Amino acid sequence: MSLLGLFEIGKSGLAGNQKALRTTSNNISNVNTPGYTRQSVVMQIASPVKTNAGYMGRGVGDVEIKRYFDNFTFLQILGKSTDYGKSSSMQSGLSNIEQIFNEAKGYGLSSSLEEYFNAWQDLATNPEGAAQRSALLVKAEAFVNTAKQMESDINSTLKLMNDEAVEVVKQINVLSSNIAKLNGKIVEIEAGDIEEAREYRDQREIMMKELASLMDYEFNENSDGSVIIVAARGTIVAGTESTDLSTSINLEGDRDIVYKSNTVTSYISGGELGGLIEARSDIKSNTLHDLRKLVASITHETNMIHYAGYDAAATPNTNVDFFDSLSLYTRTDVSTGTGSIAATIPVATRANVTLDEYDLVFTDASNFELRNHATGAVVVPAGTYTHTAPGPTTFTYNGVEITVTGAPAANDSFFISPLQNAVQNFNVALTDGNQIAASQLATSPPGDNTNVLAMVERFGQDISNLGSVTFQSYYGEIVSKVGSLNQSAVDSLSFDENLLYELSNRRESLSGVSLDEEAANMIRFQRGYEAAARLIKLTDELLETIINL
Amino acid sequence: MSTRVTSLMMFRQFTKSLNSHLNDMGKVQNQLATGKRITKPSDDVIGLRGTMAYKVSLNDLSQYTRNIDEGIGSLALTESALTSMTHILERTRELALNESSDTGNDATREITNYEVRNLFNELVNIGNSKNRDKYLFSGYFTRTAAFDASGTYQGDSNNIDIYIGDGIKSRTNISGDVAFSESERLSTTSLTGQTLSGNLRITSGSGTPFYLEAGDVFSGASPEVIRDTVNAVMTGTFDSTVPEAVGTGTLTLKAGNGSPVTLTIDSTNDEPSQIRDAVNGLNMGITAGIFTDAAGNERLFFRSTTPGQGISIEVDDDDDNDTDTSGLSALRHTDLTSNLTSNALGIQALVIDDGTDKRLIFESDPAGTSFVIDVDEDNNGTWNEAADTDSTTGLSLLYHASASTSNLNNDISFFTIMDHLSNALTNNDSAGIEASILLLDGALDSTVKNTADIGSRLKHFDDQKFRMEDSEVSIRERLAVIEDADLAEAAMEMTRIQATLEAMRISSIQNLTQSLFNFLR
Repeated sequence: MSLLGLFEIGKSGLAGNQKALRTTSNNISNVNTPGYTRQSVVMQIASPVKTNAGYMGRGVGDVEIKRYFDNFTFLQILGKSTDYGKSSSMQSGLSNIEQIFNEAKGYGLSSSLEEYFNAWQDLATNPEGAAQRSALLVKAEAFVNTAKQMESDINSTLKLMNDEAVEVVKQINVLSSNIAKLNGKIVEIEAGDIEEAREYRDQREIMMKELASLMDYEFNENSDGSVIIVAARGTIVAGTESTDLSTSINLEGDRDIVYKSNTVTSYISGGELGGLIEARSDIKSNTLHDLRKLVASITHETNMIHYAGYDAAATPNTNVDFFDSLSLYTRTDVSTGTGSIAATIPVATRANVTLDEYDLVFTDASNFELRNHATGAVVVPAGTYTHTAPGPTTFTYNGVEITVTGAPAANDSFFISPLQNAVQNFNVALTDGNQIAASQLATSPPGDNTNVLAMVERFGQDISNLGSVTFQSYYGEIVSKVGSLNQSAVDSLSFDENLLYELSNRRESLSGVSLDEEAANMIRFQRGYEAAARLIKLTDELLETIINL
Repeated sequence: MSTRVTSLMMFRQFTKSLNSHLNDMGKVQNQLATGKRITKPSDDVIGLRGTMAYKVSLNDLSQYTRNIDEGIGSLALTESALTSMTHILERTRELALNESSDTGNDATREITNYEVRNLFNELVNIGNSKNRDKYLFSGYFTRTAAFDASGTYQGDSNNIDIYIGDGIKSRTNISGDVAFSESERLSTTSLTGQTLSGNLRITSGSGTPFYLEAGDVFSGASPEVIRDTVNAVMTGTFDSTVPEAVGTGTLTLKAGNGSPVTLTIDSTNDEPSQIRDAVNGLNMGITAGIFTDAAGNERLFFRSTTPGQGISIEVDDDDDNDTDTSGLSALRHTDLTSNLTSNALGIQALVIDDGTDKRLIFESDPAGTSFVIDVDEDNNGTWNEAADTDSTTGLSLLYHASASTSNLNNDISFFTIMDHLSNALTNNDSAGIEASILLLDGALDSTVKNTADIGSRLKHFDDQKFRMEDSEVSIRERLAVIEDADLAEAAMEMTRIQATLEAMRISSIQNLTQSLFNFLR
């Protein structure tokens, strides 16, 4: 081996350490960069050369840069991000609703409900009092307004959640298109070389984590380094191609998630989007539904008793409702034929009303069944009534009179609800205190409070339409449900947060940059570099010695 | 291999703990500021459910307390009205008692009548007492005066109930037709202008039915005649199958202060009907009659034709014992002793005359015994035909089968009684004055009963109110346990968190500034 070989060894030392120093400085400068994965150099011994004196080393060979990355931790972080995204969006939606029902601070319906009942009690002790009569109307009005305000607050929260869903879908689309672009770059870099596209992979991992916090998805990494992402049963990223999700407004006025013109809302169960969808449905099927049912029930029970009484007019009137009477909401869910339905609650049968919601579904053009919307149970089997187009066919079930007209086709479906508009149409029908029917006698003597007593008695009774609880305890159940929903959202949020924190720590422990470590490495590589330089200088002196011989 | 710890991990650990402690501090701060442990439903769902239920109970309690106060107001006024009424009735009775004795005369009775009229007006005023703007005694007709100036009731008999607890309904009034009526006796409607003819069959308790023989039935009788017949003094029992058993001798009859008349009874006229005809034939102010009881026994009865006048019958019995109950001496009747049974029916009748209307009043004796009055208005031997029980005209106005099937009613207005007294005073009618004393006794009894009823309700309301106040205290205590923050504990917690935060800040500053770079020069 010639003396010049020493130059080569020194040079390889310089190059190796320089590369290591560059990696170290890259680490140090990225110490605070989110998602950055620590790199380090792996120096390899250059293959030795055979000389007369045996095999001799030739310095440092290839210098490879290694990424400290653990796929298992990454997968766990993705999963937890999805959970965390879901519980955080659920919690924020539900805590809004909770504030609407915050009885702990005296917000909510309880006090105006009490005052409404109290006003009846006061009227019972003074049925002839004009002051008590007008006070009752004022309290009823206040109760109506509170209920309406609460419904409108719930609806605004739902609207905010729908708007949020649209925003989240936009972010998802941006992320999926960026991931697709990064796929391209990674494939490009990793194709020719054995080297990893480290920085691009870091970026892609950040985006995948972000995407995971927005919605649940599954992915697979191809051998060329690109990933395929499947979400809501649709491939949103494949290689360099990404497919956008979009939204549309459904029959209930909510945002549905659409993938290639298919509604995929029900397939999304995680991430912020999944959380929004679940919280939205929790609020609608529990809180909003229950509030409407309470109001519908109070309307119904108050009217039933008031209707039978006599007011304080000179010629006493009877058969008058206290609140605007309950009306039915109908909606066409599926209609391939030309059928339509109308539904009313006739006064004669309204005592039988149960406040259930129904679906009327046609099994063929002339037969239909009525199902309880909440339980799905068939309450009027197909064939009970036969519809001959164009009808009309009229039947009554539990006080609800339904009329079918036109020519419906099989699977046509209609929704009938006494609750949908219960709060919206909730109004005091009376305008004057003297119209309050306090008496049960046709002559309506001024001191007769019997109808008011009947009302007061009803308010203390278990109401069968509400599952045999009193109005007050039904409302208490609503508040409890809201509190429980939010409590479990808060619990899972803090659980997910802690777990995500632990997982991030685990990732940080492997992939994070430690400045002390880098400082030590810096000195190490600096010394290595200095020594290699010294070697070159020494070789130079050796050569000079030889040249000067 | 130990875990690598990077500076970022230490930094995050620091911020996480900082946040968690600040969060705790915020919660404690909130507790201290509001004094409440629960500030939103999710803080304690079960606790809030409890507090809501307690708050509903508290609201109910305060509402029931308001109702009770209202009820107490009405009951207390009613009670004081009834007390004033008692005083008026007592004074009226006192006046009637003074004037019933023989010392009363035209002049004193006229003066007394003025006072009775005044008491009458005072009673009307009491009847029209108000609670704020509501008449107390008008039933449901709280906006109508209960009585007009003549004492006619203008309200209804409904009770006004209010709720004074969960499911506890209680009456807060007494209607004027009950409060101002004596309910011990049964009264007909006005008999003035009615033609009273036909036969009556009266059965008291399980006793002997009373009805008249064909010759004695009423024919256009006055209410006084019916009264006297019912009240008439009656003989012992004679077996109609052995009519001779009456015995022979002489009867010396005397009506009031009139002259005595002697009647000889021998074997030709010793049947009850013959004795009746002989007595009636004397036309001396004594009427005799016969009724038959259910066993078929005939009984002789005698009465004065002048209402209220006494009669005496002295006997010289041929069996030589003039005082025993066998033979003719069974008919002996003097002021001191009598073999005739007074009021054997168990019923006493009174006529009440308020100046315009006359009514018959029946009172069972002893009080509380039920009685039945059957009517045979056309005297055809069939009792209680449709025409005998109608409630519009004639003798059928006296029909009374049971409390529910009756043409009699059991409320004789106090005003009618006072009118009756006033009328008797004007007419200088001692018997009428005496009758009014009986009725006033009944009125006082009824009033005492009503006052006791209202008084016990008032007590019940008061008790209920105290119970409510007790419950309120204990519910408030329980509410405080669930809802209120333990301020001492919260303050300690606050101090603890502050100390932790301070320690954390100091140690973190030292940890985070540690770096190898500090030593590279």
